[in-house]
Amino acid sequence: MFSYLESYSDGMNKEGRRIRTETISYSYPVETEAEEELISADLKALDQVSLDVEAGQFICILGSNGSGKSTLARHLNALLVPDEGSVWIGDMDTRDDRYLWEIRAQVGMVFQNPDNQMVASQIEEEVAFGLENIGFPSADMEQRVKEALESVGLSGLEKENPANLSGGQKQRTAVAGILAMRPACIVLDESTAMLDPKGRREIMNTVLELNRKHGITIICITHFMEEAVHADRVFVMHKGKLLLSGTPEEVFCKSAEIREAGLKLPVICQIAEELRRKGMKIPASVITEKQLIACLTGVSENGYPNTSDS
Amino acid sequence: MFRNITLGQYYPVDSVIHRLDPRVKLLGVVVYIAALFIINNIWGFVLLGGVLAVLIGLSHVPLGYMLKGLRPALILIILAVIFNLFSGTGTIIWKWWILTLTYSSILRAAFFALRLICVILGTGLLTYTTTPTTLTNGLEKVFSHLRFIRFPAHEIAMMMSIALRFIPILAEEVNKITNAQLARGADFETGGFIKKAKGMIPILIPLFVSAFRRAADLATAMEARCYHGGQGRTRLHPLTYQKRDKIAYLLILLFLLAVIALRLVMERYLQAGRI
Repeated sequence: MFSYLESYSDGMNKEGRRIRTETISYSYPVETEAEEELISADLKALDQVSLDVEAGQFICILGSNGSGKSTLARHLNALLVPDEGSVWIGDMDTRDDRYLWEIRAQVGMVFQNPDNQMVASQIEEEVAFGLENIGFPSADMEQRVKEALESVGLSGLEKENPANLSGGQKQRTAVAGILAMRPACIVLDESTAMLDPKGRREIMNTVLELNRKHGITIICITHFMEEAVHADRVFVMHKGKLLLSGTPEEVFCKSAEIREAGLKLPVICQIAEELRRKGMKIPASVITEKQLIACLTGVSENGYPNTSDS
Repeated sequence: MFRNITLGQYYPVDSVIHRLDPRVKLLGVVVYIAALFIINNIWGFVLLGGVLAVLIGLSHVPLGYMLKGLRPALILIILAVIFNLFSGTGTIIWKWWILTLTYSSILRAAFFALRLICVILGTGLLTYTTTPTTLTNGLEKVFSHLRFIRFPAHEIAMMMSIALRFIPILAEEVNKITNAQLARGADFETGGFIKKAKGMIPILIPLFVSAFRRAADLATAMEARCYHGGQGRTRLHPLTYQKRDKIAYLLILLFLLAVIALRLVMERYLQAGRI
């Protein structure tokens, strides 16, 4: 089912798919003078942000509203170009116009609102839109579209109108539209924010599978902490700056900083924290339900204070 | 309010009309509309109605669905009929104040209504059987011949297809905004025409704001997917003429000739009758 993806991800140079931002800063242009006074220099949308994402990683960028996470996302495929610093996709600088279309084909973006990113009134035409734009030969296009739809589990809906799909299916169509271009990386810019829990799971499972099986780099921008639990690395943004970075375990144990960034810890981490406060010894690495259950059952066996005293 | 809007919506079934090349269908619609203005007697409308009925039958689009497209235009049709009805000259049948009714005005009103209905059904058939993207494809191909005067064929075609794509989304949005304003105590039902028209403002302003936001989002998303105008663009299903398209062209030509002949013959006949 995924054969075409496997062959291409193996063949590609890992270094060529690495994504780096080097101390980038960005401020949105302000048009009137009056506003310029209001927005002081310290309110940069991005302030000296450096990321280094290796090919095949699953990255989560967390942040509350206005933390600059979406601005960062838009830098990754040259929708925005930094004021200072530079963004590298492999060895391509996003500032270099020659690579613009190559970069946008390499780094696909799924946006927040499923309706506002669909151009066509038929799923197959929607999926083919990107390929059409880069001038992909018509003869091979149908095959690419078919395979991309297969990969996101939407086979058989080729002729369907996007208006008749659920939110999760629409977002998976958007993912398919990107997959058809065989990208190195997919950026999900709050793509699950407008979905119900079922749609959210659909999308997360789809991209997890693409990541695990085919080594497509996933950069997931979200304020849902639960989505970060399975990430290889987590970045927390606050007021345009990179506040925290590390593995989910490393990041989630810094609860004070997480709160400062205007975010809530994942429910499991909150429970673990409460239990710790009650005197139970729960390691900081516990961030998933399974780990917590394993740990709790282990705790009572070892004779540590049980939950009954709380 | 716009819940039952079907104008400009693709009806996904398979039929020979659906499979026709969009360029054929576009020419068909142009000839069809021209024919509507060429015919000036009842036999012309019989011919046209017959052709339309056959096409609707072939298209597998349910008649009820086709007729639903007429609903938004109903007021326009009624107004046009009223204006035509009372602005005739000739033998007066009925007269009250400034309103006069004549044979010719009745005939003209009837023809006018028929023409409007036929225009809506005919163009409706085009959009029901052609996806907006295919239609775009066709329009672009047709108008790309005007490249030498720098006619922006691709851009216009793209705008049209996006407009069509967003009709159901905006219609849904209108419902949402209407309900939201109703929940805040807005009153769209009572009062005269002016008051009702003013009552639309709290719907229209949020609708426009949201439409602009959607437009900005869509533009970003298109750009992110390498959209940069029509240059060097390829197509998933490039247009190629099949045998059926050639046959259709021939039928369209025959239809046009028949309509013209019918008018000439009828004029000759009427003149002869008068002499």
